[in-house]
Amino acid sequence: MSLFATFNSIAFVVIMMIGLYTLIARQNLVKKTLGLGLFQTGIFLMYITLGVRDGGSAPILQEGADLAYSNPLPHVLILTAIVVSLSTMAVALALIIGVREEYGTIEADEIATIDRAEAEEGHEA
Amino acid sequence: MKPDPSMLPVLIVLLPLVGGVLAPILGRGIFGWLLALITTGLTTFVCASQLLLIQAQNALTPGFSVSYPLGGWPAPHGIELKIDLLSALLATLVSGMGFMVTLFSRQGVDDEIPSDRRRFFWSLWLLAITGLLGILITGDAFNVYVLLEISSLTIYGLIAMGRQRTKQALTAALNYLVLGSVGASFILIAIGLLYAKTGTLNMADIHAKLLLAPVDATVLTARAFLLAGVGLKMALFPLHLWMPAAYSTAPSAVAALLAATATKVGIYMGMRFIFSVFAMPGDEMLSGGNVFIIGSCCGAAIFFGSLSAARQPSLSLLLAYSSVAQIGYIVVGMTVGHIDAMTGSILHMVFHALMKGGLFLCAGILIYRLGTTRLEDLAGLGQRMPWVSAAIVVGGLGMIGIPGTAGFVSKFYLLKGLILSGHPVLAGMVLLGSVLAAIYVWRFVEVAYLRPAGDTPLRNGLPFEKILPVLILLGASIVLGIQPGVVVDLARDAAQQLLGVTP
Amino acid sequence: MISPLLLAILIPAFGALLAWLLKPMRPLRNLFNLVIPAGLLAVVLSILPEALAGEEMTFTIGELGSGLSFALALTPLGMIYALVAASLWILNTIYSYGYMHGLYGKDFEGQERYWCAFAMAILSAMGIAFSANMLTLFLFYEVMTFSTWPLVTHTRKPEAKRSGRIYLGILVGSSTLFMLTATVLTWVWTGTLDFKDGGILSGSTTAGQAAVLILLFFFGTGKTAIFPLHQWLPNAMVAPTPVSALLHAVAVVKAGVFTVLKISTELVGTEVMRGSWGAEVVAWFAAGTILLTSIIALTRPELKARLAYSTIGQLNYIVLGAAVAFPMAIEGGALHIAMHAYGKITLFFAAGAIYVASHKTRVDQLDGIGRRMPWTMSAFMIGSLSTLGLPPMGGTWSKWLLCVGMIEAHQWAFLITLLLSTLLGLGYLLPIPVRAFFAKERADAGVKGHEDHGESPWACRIPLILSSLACLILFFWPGIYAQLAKMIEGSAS
Repeated sequence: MSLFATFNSIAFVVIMMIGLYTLIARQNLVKKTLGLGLFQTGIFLMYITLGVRDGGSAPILQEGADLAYSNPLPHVLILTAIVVSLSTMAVALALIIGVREEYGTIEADEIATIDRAEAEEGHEA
Repeated sequence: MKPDPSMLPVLIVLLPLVGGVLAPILGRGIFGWLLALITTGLTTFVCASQLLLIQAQNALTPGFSVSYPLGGWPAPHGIELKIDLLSALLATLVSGMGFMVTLFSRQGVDDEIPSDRRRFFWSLWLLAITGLLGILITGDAFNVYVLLEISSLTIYGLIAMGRQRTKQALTAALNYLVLGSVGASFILIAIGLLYAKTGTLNMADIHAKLLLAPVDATVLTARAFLLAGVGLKMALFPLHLWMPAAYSTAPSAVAALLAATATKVGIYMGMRFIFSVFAMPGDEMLSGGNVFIIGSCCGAAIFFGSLSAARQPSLSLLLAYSSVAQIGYIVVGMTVGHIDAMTGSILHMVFHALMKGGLFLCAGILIYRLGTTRLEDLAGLGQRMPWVSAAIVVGGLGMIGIPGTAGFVSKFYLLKGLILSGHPVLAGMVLLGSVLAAIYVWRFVEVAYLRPAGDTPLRNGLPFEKILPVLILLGASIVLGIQPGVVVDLARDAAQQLLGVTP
Repeated sequence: MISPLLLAILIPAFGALLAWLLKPMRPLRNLFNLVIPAGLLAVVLSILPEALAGEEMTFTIGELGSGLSFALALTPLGMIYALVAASLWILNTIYSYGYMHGLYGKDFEGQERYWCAFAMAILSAMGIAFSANMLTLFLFYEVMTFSTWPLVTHTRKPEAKRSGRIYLGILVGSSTLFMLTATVLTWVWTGTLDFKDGGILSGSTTAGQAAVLILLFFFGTGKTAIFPLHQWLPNAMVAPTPVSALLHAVAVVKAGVFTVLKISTELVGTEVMRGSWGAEVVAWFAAGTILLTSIIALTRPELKARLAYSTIGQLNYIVLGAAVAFPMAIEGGALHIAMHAYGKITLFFAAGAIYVASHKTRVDQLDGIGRRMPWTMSAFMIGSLSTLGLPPMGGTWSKWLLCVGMIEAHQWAFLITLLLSTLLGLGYLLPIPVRAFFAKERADAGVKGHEDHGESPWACRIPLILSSLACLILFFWPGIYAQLAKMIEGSAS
């Protein structure tokens, strides 16, 4: 395994873990969403690393030249995944705007407090 | 030009996709509903025809499946649609339930979704069905991920549309989005690792290549990620936390569609990957340790799901937690990899979809007429809405698995499979689950029949289109409880195909 | 031509439907309430000759794949149960009118539910009686549990709700956890669930497996009220008396003992039963239940509770017979289904009639009541004698056969149990009618506002007179029941 691949492997795991930690530990919904984005970015890096080949060039077929190519398929796949990730982010942010409109806050713990208070009120009523 | 019958498979995704794209343009007023109804109806028709075709062919050559190379690129390089009996059965189920719920939800959608958003609602609705059907029929691993995200993203949007009724729909949707995306990402990682190992994305091809290579850390890691991701999607305990809130706050039509189809598709993914991709000959499909872990999850799902259901304040939440328990039943059957258990598992997917779909439709009627499903407000429902509450009782009996309802048939096969494969403890959990189910179902029954009628005013009448699907679904659960032969045969053949057992 | 077996199920189903649909047309519904039980009895009687001739008759309701089905078949044992249920349904319907109208007025609340659930209970009784395999039996067994729940909780008071929970908890719990397990295990081990003379276990299961199945089946049948599953029955006494009569004499408890007899003779097989330690354990439990409940019955001042405990004891006579599984014991058990039904329904009818007329519920209030209600108390006398198995009442024969069965099996302890419980029965049952006729009425016995009362309404009285006459007639002419029981004995030996 090349140095590049080793470095990348460590890097994408670190990035994924940072993302996952942010996702779990932060109460702020936007930060949670950013964590999710970071996590998915780590996965993209993993896919890109998969396609790399030592000394491989860009996968453009050249007449006559006997070149080693990087595998283009993971890169193509990850284009799709990036689009998906982008859409996820867009949906998440749209939802957060809605949450802000309804609750007046984007902190998960405050929202939980509001929900609980309302549930108790409803119970008494 | 004469239409080519071999083109039919692609129609299964194409029809709802086109419908979903057309809906924002054409779907004003009643047309959105009509479009959805026609699209899902046609799709059901296509799926059912495929099912009949495959069943007939399978009788001649066991293991038969329909394959359709997209764009004419042959597998394994091109993307392949591959429909075997299980796919066809579930696709028929998903599109059929889509049709039923669509039929049900005209007034409900008018009631719960603001008029300027309705055409987008129908667009998301059809796209969600596209995604779910796509997962069922594709033969390509990466395609599964993409279609999964298509269905998930649209479903997040659909759930969030419940904000008109309760603002908690937004948080529920966001919660589901975060967990669902993590789950999907796990699946993406698993697919990436499988690709790294085998260099292919076609599921059959991956399987063939895995058979040649020894099982190593990459494959095991891929399997672990996959199970975790799929577990999130199918809401297997303890990964079910997103589900109750999402089911109870979503618009009633969406809750019914989700309960009937979305988790089933999650389970299908699990089955497909475990048995058609990872399965090793001689291996008991899943090794003992995995059976223990997943079996424990299922047991806990049955136990805690049922107990939680008995403590919920509203019927929607009760039904959602009941789903947690019922998913335990389905997964436990597939885990042990025994033909009878698998038959029971597939049967329970179908029957549970019918019954739980019907029950959530009843909850939808309650929301439409009473504006709430809080159990306190349902006092005396047996007198106020005799038909609806009778329907809920019938569905509830099916949840318990009383003989004479479809739930019993699947449970019976499940029990036989669990005993024959040497898992008496799991069989005991399934039995215990029935008793616990009786507790939560009877909570509703006592409220509805033993309490004096409440005075919450009824807002609307009971339209025919609303009660008809309920009667069809719950009537089917009774008919299939007494005369389930056809479906049992289908499920058994599908299980045989999936497990690669020759009859 | 519809199979009469199917018809026996469709007629009550039709009745249940009409009870619901004819809500706005009460007179018409009341007419149908009488016509439909009569129709059912006619259908059951019409296949009596076939049953007596031992002819085969089957009908398949539904296929479940893998050789499983819901199917009906005609057997002598089933005929006994069906005949008892169908004939007493008519009496119980008439009595229900007298009781419910007498207590709650002509428009008593929830009458649609009441009639509908009643018909459903009879439907399931017919289904159980004519079931051709264990799966069908289980189906109707559960239908019966759920369809009688609305009857138990009819008053919708908190104690009714509580009793309803105990009722469902014990019956559904035991049947799901044990009976269903046993059914699945039987299927796994033998590959079939069809009832067959001589049983299906012999040859395909080991002794240990057979014992496990016997224990699971007998303790899974909560409706026999075998200790420790007996609590539901006294609790179900909160129901209106016609319901108690239905539960205790006609449908529910008889479904339980019918099930164990069926399992003993046609699923496990008497041969296997006789050699199994599982059956031994069951027999001891049944004997213990008999003695225990007889003693408890002595201590209960409420009339209905005393009758309930007496019922538990009587049911376990049959369980004991089924567990001992010698031909005479089986024959006695089968006959006891019928004999006990007529005796016990008379007692419950009488208890309800007393309540309607005087609102008295406790035994110590009944001194001297015989002079005010001579018909009712005479019937009570006859019912008591028949229940205890004393001549000249029908109950004599079944008890006699059970005792002979115990002798045949050399089970002296069980024989003594039977005799002892008869003695105890003399102590808790017979003093009631005796004191009603010969003791002086107590000054403080009357219930406020109902001190001066006469006989109960005619709709209460006629059924109990008829059922007590049946007890008498069955002594001198046990006829078809004895013949049918004899046929079971023939196949059991």
